[in-house]
Amino acid sequence: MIKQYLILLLVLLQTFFAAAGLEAAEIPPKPQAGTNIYVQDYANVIPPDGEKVIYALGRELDAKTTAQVAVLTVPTLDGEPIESYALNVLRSWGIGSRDKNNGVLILVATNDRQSRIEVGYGLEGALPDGLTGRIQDETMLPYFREGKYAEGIVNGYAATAATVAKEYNVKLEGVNYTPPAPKQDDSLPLWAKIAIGVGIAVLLIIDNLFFGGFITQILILSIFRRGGGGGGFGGGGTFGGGSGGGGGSSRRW
Amino acid sequence: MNKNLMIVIAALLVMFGLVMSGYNNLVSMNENINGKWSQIENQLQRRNDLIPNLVNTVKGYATHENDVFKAVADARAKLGGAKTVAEASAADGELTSALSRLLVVAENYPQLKANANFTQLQDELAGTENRIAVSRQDYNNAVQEFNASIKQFPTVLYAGILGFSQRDYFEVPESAKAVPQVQF
Repeated sequence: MIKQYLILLLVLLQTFFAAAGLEAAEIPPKPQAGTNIYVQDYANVIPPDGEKVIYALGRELDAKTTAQVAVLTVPTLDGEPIESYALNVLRSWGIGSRDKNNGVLILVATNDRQSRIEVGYGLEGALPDGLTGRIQDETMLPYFREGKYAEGIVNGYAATAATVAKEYNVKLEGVNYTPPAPKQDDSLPLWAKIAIGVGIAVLLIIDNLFFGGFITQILILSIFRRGGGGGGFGGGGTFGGGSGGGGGSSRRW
Repeated sequence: MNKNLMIVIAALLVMFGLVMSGYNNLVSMNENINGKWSQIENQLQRRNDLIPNLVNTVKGYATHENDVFKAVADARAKLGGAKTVAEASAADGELTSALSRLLVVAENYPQLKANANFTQLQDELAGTENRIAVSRQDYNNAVQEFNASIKQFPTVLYAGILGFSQRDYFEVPESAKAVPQVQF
C-alpha cells in the first residue's frame, strides 16, 4: 500500500518538475563534440562548400584565440522574440570558453526574415552592439533581401570572425576582410610610399653589406614557415560553456 | 542517563551542522542576488550614459519635440535618485517608455533614420535594453530561488532568527509594457 502511494507521489513529482522545466520555445539540441559545431543549418540554406568555409574560419579562430563563433539557421522562431531565443541558445550550448565567455551566435530565421548577432560577455568590447548592427547591415542583409542566405551568412561570419580575431591580435588566413571603419582615407600618400620603399631598399643593402643577407634570409624563412602551416584540423572541437548577457543586435528585412 | 546525554549531544551536533550548512547556503544565495543586482545597476547606468548622445542626435533633426525630450530627462533624473528596488523598477519603466516614444518620434524624420550615427545609437540602446531585461530575469531567478529556500523546511525554522528575510523582485511596471502609439 505504502509502495503504491510512493509511486504515485513520484509520478506527481515528475510531472511537476517537467512542467517547471518547460522552455518558451524548443531550441535545437547542442551540437555534438567532434562535428562541425560552428554551423547548424536547420533551415537548409547553406551548401556544403559554404559550411566548409565557416568550419575552416571557426576552427582557426577557436584554435588561435579560444573564441567561438557559431551559426544557427532555423526556418522559424515559433513566435519567440529573437533576443531571448538567441540568448537561450548561446547559454545552453555554452558557446565560448567558460572563463572568458567569448562566444558569438549568428542566428538567422529565414521564414521570419529576422537575424541577430548575439555576443557573449567577454566579447562585448570587441563587438559592441552598434558594430554588430553594422556588420548585419553591410555584409548580410543586402544578400538576405535577395534570398541569398548562404552568401550573406558566410560573409557575415567572415566579418564577425575577423573582428574577433583582431581583438586578439591574430590574423585569420582564410579571410581578407577588414571590419567597417569610419570612412576615412587611411592609405599613405605617394611620397610616404616611396620613402618606405627607399628605406626598405637601404636596409636590404645594409644587411647585404654588413651581415651577408642574414636578416633577409631569416625574414623570408619565417614568412614561408607561416605559409606552410594550416593543414589537418583534427576534430570539430566542442563548446566551452560560455555565457552572455544579451549583448548584440537584431535585424529584420 | 549517560547514554541519553550522549544521544542529546549527538543530536544537537547534527542539528548544528545542518543549520551551519544551511546558513552558508543562504549567505551565498544572498550574495548571488547582490551580484545580479549590480549587473542590473551596471546596465541601467550604461543606458543613462547613452541617453545624452541619443537625445542630442535626435534633437539635431527633430527640434520641436520638446515634450519627449523633457519626458526622457525627467525619467532619467528619477532613476538616478531611486533608492529601493521598487523605485528603481518604476523609474526604469518610465524611462523605457519615454525612450521608446523618442524612437517613435524619430520615425517621422527620414533624414535622422538614415543617419549612421543614429542607427548605431539605436543599436546600442536596444542592446542595453535587452541586457537590462536579461539581467532582470537573472536577478529575479536568483531572488526566487532564495525566497523559496527561506520558506522551505527546515530552513524556515532558523532563516528569520539568523536575519534573512525575503528579497524584492525587480518587477516590470505595467506602463513599461505598453507599446507606444505612433501618431500621424
